[in-house]
Amino acid sequence: MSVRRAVMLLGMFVGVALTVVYLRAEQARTVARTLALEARWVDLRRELWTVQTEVARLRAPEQIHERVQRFQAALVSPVEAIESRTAPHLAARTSGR
Amino acid sequence: MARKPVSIQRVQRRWGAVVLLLLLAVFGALGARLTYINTVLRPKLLQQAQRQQHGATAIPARRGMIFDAQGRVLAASRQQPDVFIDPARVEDIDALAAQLGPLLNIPAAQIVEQVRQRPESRFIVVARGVEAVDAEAVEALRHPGVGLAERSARTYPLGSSAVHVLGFVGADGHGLEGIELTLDEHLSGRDGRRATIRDARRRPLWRAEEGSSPPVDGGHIVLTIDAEIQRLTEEQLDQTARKYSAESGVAIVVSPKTGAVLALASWPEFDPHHPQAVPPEHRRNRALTDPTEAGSTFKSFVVSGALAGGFVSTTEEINCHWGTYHVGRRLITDVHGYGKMTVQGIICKSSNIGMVQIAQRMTREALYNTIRGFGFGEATGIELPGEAPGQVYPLSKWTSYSATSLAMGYEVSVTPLQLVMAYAALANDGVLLRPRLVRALLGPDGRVVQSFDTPEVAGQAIPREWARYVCRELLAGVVTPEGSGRQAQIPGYRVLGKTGTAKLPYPNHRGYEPGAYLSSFVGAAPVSDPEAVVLMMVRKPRASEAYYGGTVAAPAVGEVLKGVLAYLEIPPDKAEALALAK
Repeated sequence: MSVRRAVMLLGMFVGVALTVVYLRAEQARTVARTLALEARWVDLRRELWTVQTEVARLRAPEQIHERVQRFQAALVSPVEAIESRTAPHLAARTSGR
Repeated sequence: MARKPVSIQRVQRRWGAVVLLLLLAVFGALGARLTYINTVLRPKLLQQAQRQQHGATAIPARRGMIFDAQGRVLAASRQQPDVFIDPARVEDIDALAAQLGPLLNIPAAQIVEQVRQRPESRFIVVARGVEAVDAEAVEALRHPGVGLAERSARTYPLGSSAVHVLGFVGADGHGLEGIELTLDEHLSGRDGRRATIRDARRRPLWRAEEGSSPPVDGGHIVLTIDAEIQRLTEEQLDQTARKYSAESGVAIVVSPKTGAVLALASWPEFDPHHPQAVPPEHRRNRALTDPTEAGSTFKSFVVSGALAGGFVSTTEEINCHWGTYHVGRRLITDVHGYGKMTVQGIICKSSNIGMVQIAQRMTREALYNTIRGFGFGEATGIELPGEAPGQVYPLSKWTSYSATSLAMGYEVSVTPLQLVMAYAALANDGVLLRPRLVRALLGPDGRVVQSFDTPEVAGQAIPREWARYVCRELLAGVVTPEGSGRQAQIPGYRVLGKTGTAKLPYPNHRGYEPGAYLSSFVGAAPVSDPEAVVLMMVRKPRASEAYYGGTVAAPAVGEVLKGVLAYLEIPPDKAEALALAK
């Protein structure tokens, strides 16, 4: 075997070794990223649940009525709307009797 | 004698043999040790390695949500971590407590005390269910001796609203009451697990293939309850119960066409986040668990059976004897004295004397079958725990006074739910439906697993034409200026209904307690095509103020009906609209 061939073979072995090391390191990094993403997924699930609960609390009818009262918003409830439509009729019926 | 000189080769050979023997001995010892380690110590070391290198993190599954009919969240779960201390990794507990106390709003001395009480423990929880912002602040400390343990917490965004329907969960996250208990299996999820291989500092290094599993979230539930109607009903029940200093109260709203329970309230209510803070009787769902003698609200069923069976005609006048009437040795009285009245007048004025005479005309079998036909004496089968069937005595136990008592709603115990469903049957052309509380079961991804949209018919209580006659001619007359339920009138709609004022027995059932009444009213509207049936029962209102069902419960039922009809956008009755046009 000539020296040149020996050097080439040695270089090839070194190349394979370095590739293996690189792939192994990359695999370790990928696993670490996967683990971090999984942890993030768990955190996001937790955040989502918290936000959903908060939205649910804000959508609660009692809360909406309280806010409407607090901000004195000029909203007409369905009950008031129907009362205003039927008020003349009620007045007529009451006076008629 | 001179010694023979030793040759150098011989010395080398001898020492070479010694070194070789020593090497052999060393390798032999190493080999023996290796064999010992790989055989005798192997299980122990493997276990130790497993402990050191392998770790697992729980991935919490979420318990399913409970929605109302409009998709509002009634119950949900979220993560609220516990803060714990590992004393073995804390050098100065006083310094740590001084940092941690203000973050968790706990006195530092309390933290120190907790740790000093259990110094050998590696897991001392110092705060349970902390908010996300506090958890972040604790994490920011980056103290090796402080950690967060994930814990699922059940929250009820509507507070105490519908609490007797929803129920609550225990510390282990499983349902203990209400829908949370009945459908616990569907709601419960299964926690996942992430197995990892860790480095010397216990940091995750690699993902272990074995032992990892994803979390399986619980399924969701859609109820027939409407949070707005529930709020309206609870508001009226609360106001009424407080106004009359009542002991307790129940209110139910159902859709007569589908049997869907739109609202179910029991007063007093409680906070589902702290159920242990109230006595057990507050947690009872009285609409299902407390059968009681209904009083006059029961008269509608007796008169329905009498009309359908031909025991009385619609035009016949019955003498009500001006307020006093004897049945054997028993004296029957009316609140006001009346002369001759038709069935319509008897129901409108809620005459006991008239009703007793009607019931006496019926055969025992006809009366019994009528009562059973409306579903009394058996549980309705609603999806809630603890439902009582009530009590209808078999004919063999009837006495000569049974028909008299039944005519006035005594000697029979019914639950509020049975009563409202029986009125729903009258409003639904005589068809008795099973009450429905669950509209659909959803999977964790929100897809419908099972739907319960089809009404379940329990039977035909009375013929359609008689159901319509009773509703439109008899019960509609109760909610008129002349009727006992006049305070339930609402503008734009004709309302049907029936008042009830029942005496309450002593707890030992020996006689009736003076001044103790069950005031009730059940109403439905619009008369032409009822969309909602509302029942309110108020137990032991302060008798010095008022105790008649028409005074205590009818106004509140009217308010609930008014709100429900407006909310459901039900147009006013045609007759009323014609009157308006005139």
